[in-house]
Amino acid sequence: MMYLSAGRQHLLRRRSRRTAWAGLLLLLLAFVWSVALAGGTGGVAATAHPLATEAANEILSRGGNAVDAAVAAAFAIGVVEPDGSGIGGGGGMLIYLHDRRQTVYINYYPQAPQDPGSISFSPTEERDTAKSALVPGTVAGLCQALRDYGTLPLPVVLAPAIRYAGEGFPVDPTLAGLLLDNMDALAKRPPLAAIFMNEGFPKMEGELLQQTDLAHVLELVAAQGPDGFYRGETAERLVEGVTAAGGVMTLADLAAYKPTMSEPLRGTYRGVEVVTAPAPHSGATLLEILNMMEHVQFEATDHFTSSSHDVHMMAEIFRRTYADRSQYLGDPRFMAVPAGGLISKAYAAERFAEINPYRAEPRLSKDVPYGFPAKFENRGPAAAARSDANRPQRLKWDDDRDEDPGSARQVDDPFDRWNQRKAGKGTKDVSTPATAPGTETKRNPGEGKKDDDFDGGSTTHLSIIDADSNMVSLTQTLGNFFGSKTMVNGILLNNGRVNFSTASPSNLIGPGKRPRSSITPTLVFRDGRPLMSLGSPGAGRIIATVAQVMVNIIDFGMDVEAANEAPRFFAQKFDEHLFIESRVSPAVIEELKRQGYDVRVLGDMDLYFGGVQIAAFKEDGTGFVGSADKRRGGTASVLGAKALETVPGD
Amino acid sequence: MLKKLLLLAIVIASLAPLSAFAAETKFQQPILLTTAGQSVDVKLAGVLLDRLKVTFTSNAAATAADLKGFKTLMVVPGYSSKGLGSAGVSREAELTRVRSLLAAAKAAGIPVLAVHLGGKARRGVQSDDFNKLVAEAAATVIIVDQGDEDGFFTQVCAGSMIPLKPVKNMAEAMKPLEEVIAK
Repeated sequence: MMYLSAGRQHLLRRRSRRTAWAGLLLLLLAFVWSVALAGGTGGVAATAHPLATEAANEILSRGGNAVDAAVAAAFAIGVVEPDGSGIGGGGGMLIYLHDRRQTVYINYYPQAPQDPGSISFSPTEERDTAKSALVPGTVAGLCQALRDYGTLPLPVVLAPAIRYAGEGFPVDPTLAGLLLDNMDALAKRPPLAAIFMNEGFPKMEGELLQQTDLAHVLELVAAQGPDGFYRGETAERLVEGVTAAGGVMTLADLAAYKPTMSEPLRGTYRGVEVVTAPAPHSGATLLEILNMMEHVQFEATDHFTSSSHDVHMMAEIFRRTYADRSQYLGDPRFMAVPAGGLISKAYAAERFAEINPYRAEPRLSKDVPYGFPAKFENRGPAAAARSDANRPQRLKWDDDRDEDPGSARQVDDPFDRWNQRKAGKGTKDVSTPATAPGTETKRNPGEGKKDDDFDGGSTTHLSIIDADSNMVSLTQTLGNFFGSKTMVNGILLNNGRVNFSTASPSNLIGPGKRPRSSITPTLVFRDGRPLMSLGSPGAGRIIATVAQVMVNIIDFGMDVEAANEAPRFFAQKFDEHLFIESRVSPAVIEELKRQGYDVRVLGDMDLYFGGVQIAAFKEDGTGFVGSADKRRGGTASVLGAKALETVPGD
Repeated sequence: MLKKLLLLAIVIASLAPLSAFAAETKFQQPILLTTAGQSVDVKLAGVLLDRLKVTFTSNAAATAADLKGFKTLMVVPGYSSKGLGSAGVSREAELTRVRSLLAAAKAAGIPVLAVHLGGKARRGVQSDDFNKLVAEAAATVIIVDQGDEDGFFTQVCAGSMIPLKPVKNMAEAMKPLEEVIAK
C-alpha cells in the first residue's frame, strides 16, 4: 500500500468505503430476511420413517406451516412405509391453528360403499381380499386439510411423495423385516410381488423399492386434486380392479367420498388440557382412561411398571374403558354416541369405584362389564340418580373380535390361537411347507388357517409443530399390514371392512358408514399454551399406549424421549392376557400373576406396543423437542432457522 | 532363521487349501429342512431347494424323531416373534427343540447345513442365540452377507474351522447350495 500513488490510494479508499456500505446493506438485508424466515420456518416433525420426516422438513424449510408439512409427510409415508398407510387407506388428522386458537378434527377414514350387503364377507376368512376394502379417504382428507388450513400448493407438498415413488428409495430395516414376515402373502399376489420382491425373494434392507404406478396416480392428484383419485382414470381402474377381485366399490361411491370435519373432544388430566379424536375414533376412550387414572395414587417409584399395584390399577382401567369403547363408540352420523357421559369426571369416578385394588376382578376380561355413561350425558347429579333406575339391560356378547384392526385378529392372533390350542380347540401347526412364489401355499391338513397374523404395529402416526405454534397430530392406516393385500394400479387398498363388528350393535356395517377405529391422534395444552402432539399406531393398543406415555410425562416427569422408551403393557376386555415388555422386573410380573392376570411377556422394546411419535415444546418455551419410538423405525427432527438436529429412532 | 520362516510359510500355505478342502462337506439327499426361531425364512430356503430340484421335507417343528431317513439336516436360523406366536411356542421352548435336534443329528452322524437368509432382519439379541447355536453345529454355513456385516458369523465359523460361504442376496444362495449338495 505504501508504494501506491496518492490518487490510487484515494481510489482504493473510495472502493473500500463502497464495499463496506454494500456489505452493511447486505447484512441488513440478511437480517431482515432471517427475521422473516425465523417466523416462517422451523418446527419439529416426528414420523415413522426418515424420508417422511425429511419431507416434512423440506416443506417447513420452504415456509410451509404444520398442515403443509403434515400433508407432505402423510403422502410421503404412504410411499416409504407402504405396509402401514397410503392413498388406498384413511385416517384422522387433528389440527390446532395457533393464531385462531382453533382445533379441528378431520376424519378421512375409509367408508363403506352404498351397497355393502351386495357381497358376503367373512372378517376372519376374507380380510386379505378385495372384499375387505372400503372406499379410501386419504386423498380427500389430506387435500381438504391443505385447502382449508395449508398455505402451499398441492403439487409442492406432493413432490416428495412423487419423488420417492418414482425414483425409489432404499428399503429400511423395519420394512425389510415386514417383507420377510409377509413373504407368503406378497408372493401369492403378482402386483405386490412385482414391487416388494426380487427374483421371487422379498427385498432386503438397502434394496431399491420403486412404485411407478403409484407415482403416476400421485401426479394425477397433484395436477387435478382429489378428482385425480376419485374420478376419471384412477377411479375407473379402482372400481374395475376391486369388483373383478370380488369386492364392492362403484364410481358413485368414490365420487361421494367426503372427509368429515368435526369438533375434537376435550378433557383434562391433572391440570393439562387434552384434545383428541371424536367418535368413531377413540379419543373418548383415552379421556375416560385419563379421567379414571386421576383417581390412581401412583406409588413412589421411578415408573408405574416398577409397581404391580400401579400396573394392576391401570390394567383394570383399561379393561373397563375398552368394554365401554366396544359398547358405545360408533359412527356418530348413524347413531347417538354418549361421548359426554364417557368423558365425564363423574362417570369416571363411578367406574373407578368398581375396581378391586388388590386383584383382577372379574377374573376373566370377557366378564368385565361395560358401564352406563348416558346418565352423565349433559345432566346434573339428580337426573343421573333418577336414570339409575332405568339402566338398559346389559347385552351379552363375547366375540366382539372385529371391532378394530387389533382385535379383528383375535381368532387369528397367535396368542389367541395359543389359547385355543391349550383349550384343545385348535390344531397344531407343525409344518411349514416350502412354496414357490406365485403359487398358493400348500397347507397340511389341520395346519393353522393363517400364518401371517402377528401385525403388531400396522398403521402409522406423525406429529408436527411449526414455528408459529400450529400443531398437527395425524394417524393413518391401511388396517392390517399391507391392508387387504390387494393392489390396483399401484394403490394398496385398505381392509377397513374388518373394523366393522358383526356383533357390537354400535359398529355394524351400513351404507356410507365409517367403522370404529382405535386411532387416537391427540394434542396437549397447558395453561392455554400448546404443549405437545402425540399419537401411535398399534391397533387396539393405541389408546392404552398413548395414555401410558402421557402418564410418563405428566405423572412421572419424564422428558419425551424417556417417556417414549419406558416399558409398556396392555390389557383389555377382549383378550385374556396382560401383555408386558420384558424389561419389567420378574417380581412385578409374578405379583401380577398372583393378582390374577394371565401375563404374557413380550420383547424388551416390542413393536406390539405401538410406535409413538411425539412433537413438543420445551418446558421453558425456548424451542422444540421430538421423539420417534425406538420400537419402530423413524426419526424426530427439530428444524431451527439455522440448524437441523435429527434424532433417529431404532 | 529366514529359511525356517520361509519353510513354515510354505507349509502353512500348502496346508491351508488342504484343510479347507477337508472341511468341505458334500451334503447328501434327502434333506430335512427346519427353522431355528420359526422365521418364515425357512420357506425361502425351500424355494431355493425346489429350484435346485433337491429332495427334501420341510418341518418347522422337527425333532430328533423326525431325523430318521434323512442324510442332511438343513437349518435356517432367525428369530421371529410372529412365527413363534403362529407356531404356539415360546422362544425358550424353540431353543430347547433346536438344541436337542442338533445334538441328535450329531449323534446320528447327520451333517448340518446352516443357511442364514434374512440379513440384518434376522440378527440382533433375539436371533443371535439361534444363529450361534446353529452355526456352531454346522458343517457349512451359507449366509447372505448383510447378516455378517459385523463379522458375527465369520467369528463363530473361524473358531471351529467351519466353511462360511457368503452371498450377496437370497437368490444367489442357490450357487453355493448347488455346490455343496450332492446330486
